[in-house]
Amino acid sequence: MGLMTNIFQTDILKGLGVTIKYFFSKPVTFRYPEVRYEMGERFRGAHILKRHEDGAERCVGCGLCAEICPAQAIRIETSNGEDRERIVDRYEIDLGLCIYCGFCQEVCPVDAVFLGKDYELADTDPGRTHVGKDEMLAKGEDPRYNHL
Amino acid sequence: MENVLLYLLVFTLKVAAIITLALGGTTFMIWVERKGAARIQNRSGPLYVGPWGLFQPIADGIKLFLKEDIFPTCADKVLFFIAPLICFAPSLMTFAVIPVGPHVQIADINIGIIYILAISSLGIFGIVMGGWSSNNKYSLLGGLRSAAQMISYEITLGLSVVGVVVFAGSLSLNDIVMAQAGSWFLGIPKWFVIPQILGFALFLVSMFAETNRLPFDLPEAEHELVGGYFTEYSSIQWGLFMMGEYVAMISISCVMVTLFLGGWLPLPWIGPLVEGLLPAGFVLYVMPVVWFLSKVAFFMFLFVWVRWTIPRLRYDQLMALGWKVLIPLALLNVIIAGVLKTFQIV
Repeated sequence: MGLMTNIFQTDILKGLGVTIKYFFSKPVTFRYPEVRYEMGERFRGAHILKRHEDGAERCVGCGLCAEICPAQAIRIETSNGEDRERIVDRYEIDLGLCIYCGFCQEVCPVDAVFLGKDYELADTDPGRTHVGKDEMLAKGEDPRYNHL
Repeated sequence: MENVLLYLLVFTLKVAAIITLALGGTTFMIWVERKGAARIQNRSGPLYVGPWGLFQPIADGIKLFLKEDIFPTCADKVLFFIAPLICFAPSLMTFAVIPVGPHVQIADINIGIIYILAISSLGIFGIVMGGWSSNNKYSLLGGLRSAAQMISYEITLGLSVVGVVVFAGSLSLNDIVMAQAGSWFLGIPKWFVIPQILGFALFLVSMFAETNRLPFDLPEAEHELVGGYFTEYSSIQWGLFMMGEYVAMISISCVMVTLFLGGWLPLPWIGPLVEGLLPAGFVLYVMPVVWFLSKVAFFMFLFVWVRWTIPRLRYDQLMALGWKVLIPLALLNVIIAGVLKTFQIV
């Protein structure tokens, strides 16, 4: 440290310059509940189920997703309709078990199930981690969760 | 008889106005501190209570009032109770002699500056008593450090004021302000900060030490002493300590402005420019207060600004700076002031 620096304490002034620069810069804080974070294109959040253009469900209940799921989080129950068409009675995912790997999305032959953008999955009741078909279909309609 | 009553009424109003100003300023200062700290760290600070979070300190104050007073076991109850009061009251008493404007001063006593030095040293008793009576080793250490620090830096503070007194030729704060009226050349104001630049710097440093603010906040060093002398304090007793600290910051800033920056006098070239546009009564009674407060506001911001810039000194560094650097410089400053005054250089 030079003599002049020592006498006039220019380092302190330099430091004050740095802090005042940050004082006038924009805060980086995100006001979360009011402003929602925009997730990236490839974000893998809670699942959504898609529909055809005419409103019919895409899912045909083939069970491939349940088969490939490493965490065995997916449960599908089907029954036969009048013209021997297969009807999906239950399509349930335990989000507490799910590891969000995206295999279900990849394996689906009819592009019905996707990983959406919903990440607010906390609940006060551990028994409520299951999501059913209706909920996932509704999320598929919602532009907040559906990025596809 | 009527004159006495009128005098008392005016006097009470003055006291009420000054105390409101001081306590309102404290509340505002807490907000400035939190907001400034947040912005320097790229955060937002208080946002939700009132506009821009302005009422956050009031909400905090109400919360403190509603909390339980906790007395530690084996604490000296009497001392523990009166320590915050002793810390808080003297910092408010300083305002009695500060000339906020030409007609806004509670008492113009002829030894104003000595009164301020005497009263501001009283607050330390509260800190030491609080540290002693808490029956806690950290509190005690905080109190002891505080006492040592105050003694070291009070000398510098007192000596740096001597220069101003020499120039003004009076101990009355009103006379000191009036002695700074006018300008030298090129519109440079005749404030004592120009001939007393060394005294100004010394006062600035010891001002931070006297108010226990960073980089001299060793008495309450959170990282070493938990909370220092108020480790054991809770609820409004803690609040009184904190408010005492903030009021002391405001009052020492007021003293600083009065002594070195011309008190309520405006800048010689900006003053007439602004005041020409305003009605005469407003200029006479309100504008001095505005000039004064804007100068004080700068120092209040400086407190926050410096707090988030400079790290805390080590204890031996604090003592070395106080005794080996500041006190010799303060003595030198007295000599400089004497020479300048004797030979009429300035």
